[in-house]
Amino acid sequence: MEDIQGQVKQYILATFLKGEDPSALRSDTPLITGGILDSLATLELVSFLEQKFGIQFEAHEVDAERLDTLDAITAMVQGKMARV
Amino acid sequence: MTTSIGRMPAAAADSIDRAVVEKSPVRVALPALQLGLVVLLVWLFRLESRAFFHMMLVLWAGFTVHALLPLRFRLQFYVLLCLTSLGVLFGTAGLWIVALVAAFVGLAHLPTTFSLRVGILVVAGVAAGALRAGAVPSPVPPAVWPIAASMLMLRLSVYLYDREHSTLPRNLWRTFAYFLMLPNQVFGWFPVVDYKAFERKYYDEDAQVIYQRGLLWIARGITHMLAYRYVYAVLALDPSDVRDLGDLLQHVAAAFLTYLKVTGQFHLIAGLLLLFGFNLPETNHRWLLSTSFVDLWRRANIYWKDYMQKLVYFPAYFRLRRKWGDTRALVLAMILVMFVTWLLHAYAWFWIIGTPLFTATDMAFWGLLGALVVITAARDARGGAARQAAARRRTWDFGRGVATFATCATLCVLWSLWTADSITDWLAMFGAAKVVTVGAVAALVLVAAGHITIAAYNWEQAPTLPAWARLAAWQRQAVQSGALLAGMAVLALPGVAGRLGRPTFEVMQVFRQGILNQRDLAREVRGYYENMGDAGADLLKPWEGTAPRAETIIEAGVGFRRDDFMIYGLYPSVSRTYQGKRFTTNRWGMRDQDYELAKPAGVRRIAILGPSDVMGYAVDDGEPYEAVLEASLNARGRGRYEVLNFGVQAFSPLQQALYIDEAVLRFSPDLIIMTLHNQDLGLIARRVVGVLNNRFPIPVPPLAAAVEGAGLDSGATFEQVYRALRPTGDDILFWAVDRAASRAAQAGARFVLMGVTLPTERPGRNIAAIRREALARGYQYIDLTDVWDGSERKDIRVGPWDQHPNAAGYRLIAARLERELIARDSILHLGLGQGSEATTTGGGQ
Repeated sequence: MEDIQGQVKQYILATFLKGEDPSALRSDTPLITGGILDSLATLELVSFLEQKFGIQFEAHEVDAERLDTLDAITAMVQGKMARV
Repeated sequence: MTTSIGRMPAAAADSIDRAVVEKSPVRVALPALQLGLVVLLVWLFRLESRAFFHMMLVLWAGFTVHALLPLRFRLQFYVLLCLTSLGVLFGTAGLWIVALVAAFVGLAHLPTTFSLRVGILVVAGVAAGALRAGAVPSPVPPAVWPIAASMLMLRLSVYLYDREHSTLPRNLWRTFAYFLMLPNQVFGWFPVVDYKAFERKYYDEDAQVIYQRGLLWIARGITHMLAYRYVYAVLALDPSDVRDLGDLLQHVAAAFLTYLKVTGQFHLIAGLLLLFGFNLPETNHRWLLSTSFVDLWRRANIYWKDYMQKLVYFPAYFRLRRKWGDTRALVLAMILVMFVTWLLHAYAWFWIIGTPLFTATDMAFWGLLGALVVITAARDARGGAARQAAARRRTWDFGRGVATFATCATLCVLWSLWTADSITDWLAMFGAAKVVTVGAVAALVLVAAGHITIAAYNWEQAPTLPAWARLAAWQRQAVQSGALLAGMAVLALPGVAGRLGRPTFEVMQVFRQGILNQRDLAREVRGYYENMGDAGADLLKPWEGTAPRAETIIEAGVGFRRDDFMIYGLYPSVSRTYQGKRFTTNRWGMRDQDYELAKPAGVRRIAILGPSDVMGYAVDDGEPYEAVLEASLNARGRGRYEVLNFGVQAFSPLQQALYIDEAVLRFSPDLIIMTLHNQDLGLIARRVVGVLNNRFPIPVPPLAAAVEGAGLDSGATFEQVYRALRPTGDDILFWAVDRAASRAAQAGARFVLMGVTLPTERPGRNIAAIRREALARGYQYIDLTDVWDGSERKDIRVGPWDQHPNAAGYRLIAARLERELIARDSILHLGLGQGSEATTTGGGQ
């Protein structure tokens, strides 16, 4: 889990939060509802997750419920990887 | 509590305060008190409709009970409150709304496959559409459709989608709460609430925090609604009246700012939902600070954005990207979103208004806005988003300010296109930009500098406050909303605004009265959102009661259509009900008592000409000001007077001038009064449209020349005619005045011009310019444009959607006119005495 979350965090910091203090991005920081990820950025993140972890998303899975925090993203990825 | 990353949502920021809130003794009392202030403001400002006020009373009482109930009972209570409100507001018609909602929800839950349920709902929707359009006989009262449709037309699709993919168990209480949402009952144009958000965000924070945020949004919503009233009534300018760059800037800015009506309503609606625990996100968040078209798309109606994202954007993207790749798929999905947005706006228009909406301006607006959004989105997709996110975090950024101003300026222009009658008219209006004035340039520079400076600041940053001011977020919001609501309530109290000076009083008058502006008075046309927002008005009683249906004199059987330039005439010797009032004509076809053709010895006659306000629209016999004046003059005991009413609906000064020869002079009047109005040129233009369509001859040489010069013919629009007449408008108008004065003089009668306005009409520059010209030509001019000053407009007009004076208004005109005639007696020689008091508004004619 730490590995998945770490990789996702690194990607978000490098892509959407350049120059920010990494410690400010916590596992429960709201990404979508907090305005960090808009719809375009969310789709970029989805593409990254699909490529990095070899999983596939459905349209209805792209929402704040599943992708709003690092914790939620990690759980989502883990769940999908378990089904692969 | 703040974070250095992103915009911290209020939800997270407030969570730290939860323990404090739980112990607070003001948990229910504080929001209930503020909600009471909201109810007071709805009443003081006559917001929306009387039904809205009634709903707010139900909601105020319901909120207090709801907030005190254990959480497990609140959803059920909310549904019961929705049903109670439906009964209170609509009576038995409310049963139709519940039945339609229940029927469609039932179909959505049929125990069959998802595809089959969608198919069945589409078929049911088409059948309902046929009923809505009147294509087949319907037992459903027509006025039920706007409200029922606004509950179902879009929400049903997102409900189906979310239920199909939801992991939460089905809850019918929540389902009915979702469709019957309380504020929806008085708002035809309602945001598309996301079902998943409605489901998952129910009391997901402390109640006090949710309630207080909702109250702040409600307070903001009311300020937007009041600001809209000012924009609409004072700033909005008819495209036909755009004559220079200043007018053009005012027109396009006001066109965009009419969106305040939507932002006000949506803040109010979302805020009310928060009061019942539905912790939805804020819509139209600082929309005037949008830095790009995509940013506006994300800020404005975010419920719509989420709806399109869920049902169109993401599904299209996931289908397209396999074939086209990510970037192309994004762009194509965005194009599809904008196309479907346009289509669904037309679809919503049909359900709410009942007619299709496929106009060139509508298509052009959505096409251009869509193109701009797609271009910006494509730029962001190539990495601009990260750059923008970084820029958003800077405290001051004048590049952001300039981008914001450019975005808003473009939107102003686009919005003016959306509200234009035609693309040709819209393009022609921009010809006025060639007439540059110093004032217009200075105003543009000032507005641009102000907007850029405000937008350059990062308002999303949490402010650094002194220690004593570091309240919890909900406490800050309570201070803000409490101060805002209490401040507005104090200002609205009778007598308060008057003590703060004339400008404040006049602004408050506009705030307190939902009135039609010059544009709509002249053309009876309103914008997309304004029409949508007022849908359902048949069921929702307006503040001043329901006016009778606007029937014509022809429908009422008191008038007839003429086959010439005069257009209308009144039947002789009829007595019928017109606009709910007794309307009687004499044997000469005048709305008046009977008179002998030959003037009796010793009688002085005054003939008054004009349109509907002279004729006495929507008042009983004996109540038009001509009749009141006659009774009052005779009551003075200084001789016998007959005041003859030659008013006929829609008579412009041109028809009045021609009517003098046709009908007036044979009665040997001693005085002829011709009435002039602010919108006379508009009235003439409307009549000319009819004259051209019927190919009647035009017996007014300057008018005929203007029409011929502009190449106008059958099928010409109001805008085209108005624009063609405007350059020579004064010549046309004073042709009528000069002719009338000349005929009066030949017959030995004195002649007076009288300038009047409707009760809620602000005297415009048209009537002021006409007065100056009339005085310059030496005419006697009685200026009654200030006759309404000091009166509550609602007390002197027929109703909120009919701006004609009522009987009380006519009494005001009669009394003032009598004083003016007495003051001019040394010139008019009517034997009214006190001639030495003659005023100085012009020389004798």
